[in-house]
Amino acid sequence: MLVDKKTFRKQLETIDSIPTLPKLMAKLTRMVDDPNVSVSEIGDEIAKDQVLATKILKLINSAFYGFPGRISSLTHAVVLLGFDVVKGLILSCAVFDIMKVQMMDLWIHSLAVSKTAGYIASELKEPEPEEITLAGLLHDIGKLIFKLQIPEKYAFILEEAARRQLPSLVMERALLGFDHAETAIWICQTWSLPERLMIPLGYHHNVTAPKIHKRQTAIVGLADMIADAAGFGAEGDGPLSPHEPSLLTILNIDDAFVERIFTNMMSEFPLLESEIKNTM
Amino acid sequence: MILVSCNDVPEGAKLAKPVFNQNGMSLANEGTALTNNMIKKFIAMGVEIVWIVGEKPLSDMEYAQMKEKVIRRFSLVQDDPLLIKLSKIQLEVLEAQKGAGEDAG
Repeated sequence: MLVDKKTFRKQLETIDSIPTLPKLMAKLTRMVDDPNVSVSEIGDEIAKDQVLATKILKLINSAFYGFPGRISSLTHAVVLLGFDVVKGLILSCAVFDIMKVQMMDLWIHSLAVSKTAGYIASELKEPEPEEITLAGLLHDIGKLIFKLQIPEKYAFILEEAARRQLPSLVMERALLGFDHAETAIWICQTWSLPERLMIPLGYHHNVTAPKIHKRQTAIVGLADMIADAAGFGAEGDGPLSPHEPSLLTILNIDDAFVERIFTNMMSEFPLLESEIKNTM
Repeated sequence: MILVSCNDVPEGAKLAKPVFNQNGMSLANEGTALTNNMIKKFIAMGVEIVWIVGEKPLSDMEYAQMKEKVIRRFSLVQDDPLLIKLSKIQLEVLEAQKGAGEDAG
């Protein structure tokens, strides 16, 4: 194996390649658990990093995320969306800064999956569409962690995947003994992110495995497949693999539903670039 | 996203960018589906061109390259009826974009 799984996982507990994030996440988690801390104090803590605070408000209020112009402060955001969603947004803003510079294609893919997942969630009238949108946004965070923590080895994995015309997921498993989805679970555990975010991130390639949050996981898996099929896959995704039939059975949908979503997203995806500029 | 003359914009086309009059006043937001009445109003107010949702017509070379990419992407799923349907949708969209170029040419 290219890396030792246990050592890699241990490294993630002290990951410092995403600046400021671990300290802020740890502090916010402590504050939420403290019954004497008010929501406005949590909002104020996030707002101390003005650049981050501005980005979060911009992201929430963008047409992309679906709350255009409605949320004016971080306290308002915590009240309306819940702390877990805001925490996920903090993570999104921090990782997107890095993606923009180092992994543009993964950034666009993440936005495509997020948009598709949100659309499917609203079509299926899911109770928490914003959480599913967020899970779509972060579903491939494990790939970013690979790029940051083991850049040369990850480059080799992508090269091998391209050379053999195989999905990069297959090469991750073959050369590392684990994959980006499993890595996402470790990161979520490290930063105390909620299970309803962790499960879709960790099982979007294996949707039959989880016992809970199956629908959210299947929606993210389906959105990932649709983005890949439309040509908005991440680097190294290579040719498509046959789709997992459980994606449809878990959601109780048929081929015609997927075709309709795909056709709609085909006209939405070309707008992503302009939306991205307005988002961050 | 394509830039078209108000005289050529088809009814039902979606705005990809907001439309402003010459004083900077907003006339329609991004995402608005245009009606004939709105298009007439734009022309009357001096708006000559608008950005609408869509792709510019594909040249023969662009069409061939994109078609090749679609075929390669779906090369391992020829036994998957759902994904074959999605590839057909994509090829139809490409064909339509090429056709739009031929119509314009």
